[in-house]
Amino acid sequence: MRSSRLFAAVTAAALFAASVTVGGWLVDHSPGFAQGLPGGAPPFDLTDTKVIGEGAQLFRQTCTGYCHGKDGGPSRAPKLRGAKLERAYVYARITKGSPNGMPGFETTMPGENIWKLVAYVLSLSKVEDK
Amino acid sequence: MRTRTFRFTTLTVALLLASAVLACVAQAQPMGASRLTSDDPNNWPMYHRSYESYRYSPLAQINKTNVKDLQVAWVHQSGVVVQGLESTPLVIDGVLYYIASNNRVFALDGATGKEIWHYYTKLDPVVTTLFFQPYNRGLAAGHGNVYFGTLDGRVIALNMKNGKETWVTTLLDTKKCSCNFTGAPLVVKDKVILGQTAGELPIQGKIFAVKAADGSKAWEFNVIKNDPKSWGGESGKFGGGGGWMTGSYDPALNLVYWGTGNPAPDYDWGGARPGDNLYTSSVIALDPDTGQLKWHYQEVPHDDWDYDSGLGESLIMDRDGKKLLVHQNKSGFVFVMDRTNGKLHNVWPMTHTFTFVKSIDPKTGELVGRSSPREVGKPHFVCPWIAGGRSWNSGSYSPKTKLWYNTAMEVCEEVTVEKQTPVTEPAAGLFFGGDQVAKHPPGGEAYGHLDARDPVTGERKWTVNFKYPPIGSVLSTGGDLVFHGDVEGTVHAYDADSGAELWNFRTGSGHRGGPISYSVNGKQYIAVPSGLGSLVLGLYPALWPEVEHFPAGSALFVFSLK
Repeated sequence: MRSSRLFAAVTAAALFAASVTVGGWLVDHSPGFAQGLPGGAPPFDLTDTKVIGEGAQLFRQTCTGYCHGKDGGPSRAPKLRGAKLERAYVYARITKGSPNGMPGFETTMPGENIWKLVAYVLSLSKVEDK
Repeated sequence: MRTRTFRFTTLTVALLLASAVLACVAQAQPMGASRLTSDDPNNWPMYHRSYESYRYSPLAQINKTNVKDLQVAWVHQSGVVVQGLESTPLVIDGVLYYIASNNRVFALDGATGKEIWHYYTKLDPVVTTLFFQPYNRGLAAGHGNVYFGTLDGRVIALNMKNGKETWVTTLLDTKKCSCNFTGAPLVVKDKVILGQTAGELPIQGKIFAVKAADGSKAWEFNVIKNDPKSWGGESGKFGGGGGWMTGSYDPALNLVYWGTGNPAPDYDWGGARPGDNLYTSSVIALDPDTGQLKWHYQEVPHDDWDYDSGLGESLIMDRDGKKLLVHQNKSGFVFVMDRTNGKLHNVWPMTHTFTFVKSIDPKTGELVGRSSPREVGKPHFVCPWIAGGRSWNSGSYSPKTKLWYNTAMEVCEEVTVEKQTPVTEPAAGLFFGGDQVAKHPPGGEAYGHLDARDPVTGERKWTVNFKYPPIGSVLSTGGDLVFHGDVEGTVHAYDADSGAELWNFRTGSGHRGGPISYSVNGKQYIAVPSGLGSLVLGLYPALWPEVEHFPAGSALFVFSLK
């Protein structure tokens, strides 16, 4: 009895953890979850090269130099080249900032531009520096 | 005999009583303008210690002979390490005051470090959306209060004795302008003067004065001149400027000298802001009573590189009967002016490496052979980098050795200009007009140095080199010592005459703030803010990747002799 309760509790906890993980932060590729994520569904395809290019321009104008490194390279702010980041995490960081000093951009950047930045930052995850 | 004794005793008691009363009066005297101009060697009453901006303490108890015996007296932790500890403390009558990130203010017993009071203001959440945060460079004091500008656009006066708010004034609409206050104010007579951040924002940056008594606004000076010749088209609306660091004051001339910020956008793709863009990247002389402009000198007309004039000190000194003002521009060039009228006296470079001009004419100030990044999308190599030939940290001038101890950076960059539309709604967005990445100078490695120079001619007496360009301020003392902390986390004491290192101590985190010296009960102390952090530091890992992992911190180390 005691062991079956323990099994049930562990199972429930595991299911809860799985639901939080899938629905919240770590996995977000399924279109079915899009509306529940921070920012909702992106207004365009984030793998579109034109969108990524526009995001790169915004990144150069707003994010590099004093903070992130050029083209997502090393800096005091996290290196983004090769970083395996999830979409929801990137969106939340850009809109809300971080306690480590990164400003949030939700009031100073139109929503579409934030998504373009997300597209560019996600594209950097595929870059591997030798 | 008895009568004589009685008379003597009575006289002694009377004199003692009178002395005690005078001492009490002196103790109770509010920190007014008169005390700011008097040179009490025990105190450090303002950001640069004196209106002349020397950062020099005449105290000599700690000197070349005994500095080797310096040891930690006490340490205070601010509790917030984000962007390190950038400020310079104040000391008045044995009490040390300092400000840390998130606008935390502390009053401590200068001898023991024991907290007398602290004040943590509630900041508007908009602060988390700002570029210039959460650091602050310093406080001002006077009229019984300490004053500071906040990250969310207010000025606050706190009672020096108990840390309670005397008044709070809102000067900036930070939610709209994304601008704020990060530099230390300057108290001049009955006013508190401070400038705002603006250089990277599509706004019009200003310098303000509020009344010390109640915080009401006395005047404001718009750094963006209303002149279509100076600002073509609509560009002046988004011109940036401001004056984000602390100025100097000449009581005899009744003039306040303030360095102004760069124009926005930082980079011009050609036609972004036609004209010379007055009064950005300039030194301006203002009447502190009215805010009226008396003269200006624009060090970098139509600044193309973010070489603004907002940084650091304006040294006030007289030489050969001339009243001079010595001011370093971020380009690494030092401009020496007649402070009565702004007429140029000399120009000399702090750095060995510069390519943004071939030269600057020391007689006319003309930037000869400008090399401006203009071609959109094409990297343009230029020296110095955006952090400058020196950042906003200050040097120190010793009237004893007649030398200016100042840091310099030999670093270049590649700028890539991009056309950018200013964003002002719902709030101002960053307006750089391009980006940059740090590069080594031609034919060598980037580095930095601390120099001892004649401030008027630039003649160099000694140099100490650093692998990582230093970004901390400098202190010189009457004990013929120079104190300076480096990026790696070691504070050094040098012989002011030779540059020989006489003492050092590893504080565990790099240095960005301003060391000071003061005395309590006849004992001299050296206070050193330690805590690495800065927007500028974000530029380092492109050349030195290991800097990414240098530890942050926020501690005040105070040293004394055994």
